[in-house]
Amino acid sequence: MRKLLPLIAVLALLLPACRPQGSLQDSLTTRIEQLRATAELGTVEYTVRKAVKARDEGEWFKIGNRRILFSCTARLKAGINLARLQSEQIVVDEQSRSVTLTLPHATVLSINIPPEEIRLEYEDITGFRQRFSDQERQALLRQGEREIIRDLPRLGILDEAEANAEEFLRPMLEQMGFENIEIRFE
Amino acid sequence: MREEVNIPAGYVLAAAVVLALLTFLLLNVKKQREERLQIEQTELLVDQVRRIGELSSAGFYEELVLTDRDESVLAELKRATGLNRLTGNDDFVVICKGRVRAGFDLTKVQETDFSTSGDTLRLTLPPVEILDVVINPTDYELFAGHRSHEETIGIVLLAKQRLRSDAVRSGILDQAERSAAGTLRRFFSAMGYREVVVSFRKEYLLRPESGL
Repeated sequence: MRKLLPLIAVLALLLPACRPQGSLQDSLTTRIEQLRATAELGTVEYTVRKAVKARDEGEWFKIGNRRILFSCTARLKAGINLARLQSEQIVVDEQSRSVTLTLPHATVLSINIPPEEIRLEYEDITGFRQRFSDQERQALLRQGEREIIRDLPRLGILDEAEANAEEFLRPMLEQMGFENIEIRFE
Repeated sequence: MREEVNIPAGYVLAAAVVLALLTFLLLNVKKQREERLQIEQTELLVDQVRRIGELSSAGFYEELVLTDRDESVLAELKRATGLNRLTGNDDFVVICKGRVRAGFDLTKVQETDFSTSGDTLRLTLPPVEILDVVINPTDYELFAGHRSHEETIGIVLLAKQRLRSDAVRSGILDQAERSAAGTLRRFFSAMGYREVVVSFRKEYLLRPESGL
């Protein structure tokens, strides 16, 4: 047995590299789940693309550089949160067939960055540097997501969501017989 | 006879200061390394702008722990011999949190689905559907193990599938129908309709006849 121990130790150290593909079993455990009612009227969807790139030249004592480039697509939906609409914000005058609707301002309802649309386009490692670790790749993608959220106001998505909400509701109110329709946002 | 060694207090103090300095330097180098790994500024390119009309009336939130367990012969051997305590194992553990939104595509409402008669309003909504299943990069944390980018994405996709099926199993579609009916009743009642009838169009799968 004592003779076998070094052999087992060597095998144990070497074999992880020979892990057969598809031999892993996936298991999922649910920790928390929650179901809730919402009332959101989504009126616009933007599909945006972003390149997430980083260059790591390392400390002075490290020889070589590392570069990485991801491309990702995000789908952003914006609209009106109808749960914030109070009955006082709908004013109807039957005689003049008029309605005034005061809607809450548009908000971003959903930011979806599908994992299947996050592609590692390029990775370049020179010298004695190691590849980007799982945690480093993850940290870079998280930064990318935060930048997408930061740049959202510049896209004008909220103005478009409000304009679309008005265009969406107006024909419906006309069909209901209203002749004077005022839709505003507060 | 044991000889007592007296170390001058000054030496002890100097050694403590040097040790503290080294620790500080090491921690600082590690922190600098983490901070330096920053992404470069790039533009956000708008690919498509699409007008939608979605009523999202139910949301589901779930946290999952996903273990991609190494079931190879070697991993079993390492577990059996206890060597995994020395070398570690190759299990991959991800903690994910995700969201599912369900509701209705109101652009599918046709003119005939909406009618008014006196103080009664009738509305037929299209079939309820899952609108989004979202697990973004900030929603998952790599807890243990190592995988390639493609393998990690594959595992997160499995989590998305599970999230979707858990949401359906939890009754998100029924919840979406109930709360949409409630929201629309409140909305139209505030416009003066005493009776608001909301119904749902169901979708049935038609099997093609054999031989066609």
